[in-house]
Amino acid sequence: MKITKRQITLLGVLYIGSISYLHTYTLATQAARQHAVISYIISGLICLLSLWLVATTLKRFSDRNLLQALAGRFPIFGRVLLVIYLLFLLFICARDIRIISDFTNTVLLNRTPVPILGLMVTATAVYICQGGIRAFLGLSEIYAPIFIASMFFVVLVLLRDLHPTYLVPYFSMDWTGITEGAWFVFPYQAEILVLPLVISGKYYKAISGYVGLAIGTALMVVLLLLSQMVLGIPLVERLIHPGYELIRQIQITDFIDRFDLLLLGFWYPMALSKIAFDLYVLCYTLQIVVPKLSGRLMTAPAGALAFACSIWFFKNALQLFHFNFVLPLIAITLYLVIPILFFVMLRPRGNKPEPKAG
Amino acid sequence: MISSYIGLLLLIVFSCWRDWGSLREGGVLSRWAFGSVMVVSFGILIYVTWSPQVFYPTEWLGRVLQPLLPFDHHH
Repeated sequence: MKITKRQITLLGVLYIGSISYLHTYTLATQAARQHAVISYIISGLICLLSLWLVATTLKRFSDRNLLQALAGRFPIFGRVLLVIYLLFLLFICARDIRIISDFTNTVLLNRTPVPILGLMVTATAVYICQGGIRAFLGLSEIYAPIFIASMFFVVLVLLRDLHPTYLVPYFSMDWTGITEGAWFVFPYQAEILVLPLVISGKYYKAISGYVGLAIGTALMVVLLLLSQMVLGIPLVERLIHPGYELIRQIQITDFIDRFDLLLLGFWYPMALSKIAFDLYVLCYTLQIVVPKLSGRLMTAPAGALAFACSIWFFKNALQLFHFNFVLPLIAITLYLVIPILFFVMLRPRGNKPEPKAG
Repeated sequence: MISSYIGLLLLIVFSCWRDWGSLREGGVLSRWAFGSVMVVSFGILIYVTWSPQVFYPTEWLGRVLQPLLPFDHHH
């Protein structure tokens, strides 16, 4: 199935621009305070470097994706590396399920137990995932533009509540804090690297990844600035979900009482699609590691495992949040160090034909 | 917690019913993998909810990797 550049861009926006709104603002603001925007830009530039490394490596293999190229070139070492990625992808999927379940329990369904919410989220993600890449492309083409349009709307409506003085002093920058903020944000932005890993070199165009990263980062930055200028720095660094508290401030005369629910209605399918894509990538990688397994058949079991792990890996919502201090260490290894390794190791072989993967 | 067990069991049964054709055609390895992963998932859920002392991997990993962090978290 042909995948266009626009579809890849929108998929990238959907992938990095959904769950990241929930956790990164508090951490980035705690570290960099009013200059957290610069943290997102620095982190985005590092992700751009990783994306460039992976895209350049992918250009060497026109008929397959990077995971297939790795398994084909280095059957044993490549598969060991893929198993490490597999475990990390399982962790990411479990983390995302838990984040959404905790968020839904906190703000929407207080009396529904978190495991039940996790089960519902996972079941939906499994059924989306079983639709294949076509389902994700369709969802991203519908919901990503709607979400971007709703961001414009949020900016318009909140213009009168903005206080630029909350960002004072503008030019007194704590570079250590800004770097620490970039440290926290990097794992979430770098997830876009999953796209060149699973999309074949035939369809993946580097520019789509760059534009997707740029748009996703721009959306995060806009919402962050709005949160800081409406709620203020002291509140943003103490709230678990400042992005949600921001949209709770939207009031359009007496028209609709819970306007945040409408905006959540636009955002929630994106978050579910993100989890579904996590599962898709997980099953896809599993199929490359064990070629005799059917990736589509393993979707439901992978979903069940991700759900069970979402309950097991994290003691509670606060411990999940605190793990963000340590996660960047693992993410930098997998999203920066290993792409550098790919760039160095996966070089063209001259006249020797490439061995088939799997 | 009973509702979580019942919910997961129902979803497992539904998945088996939905993918029955694919399971039959998929080969022995796929069937074993499907069944094992479902059983392991259910086992993890029971372990987390019934065990008096639960080992949380991210808690342990956080303690192990804490000395390697470049930033001191005083927030």
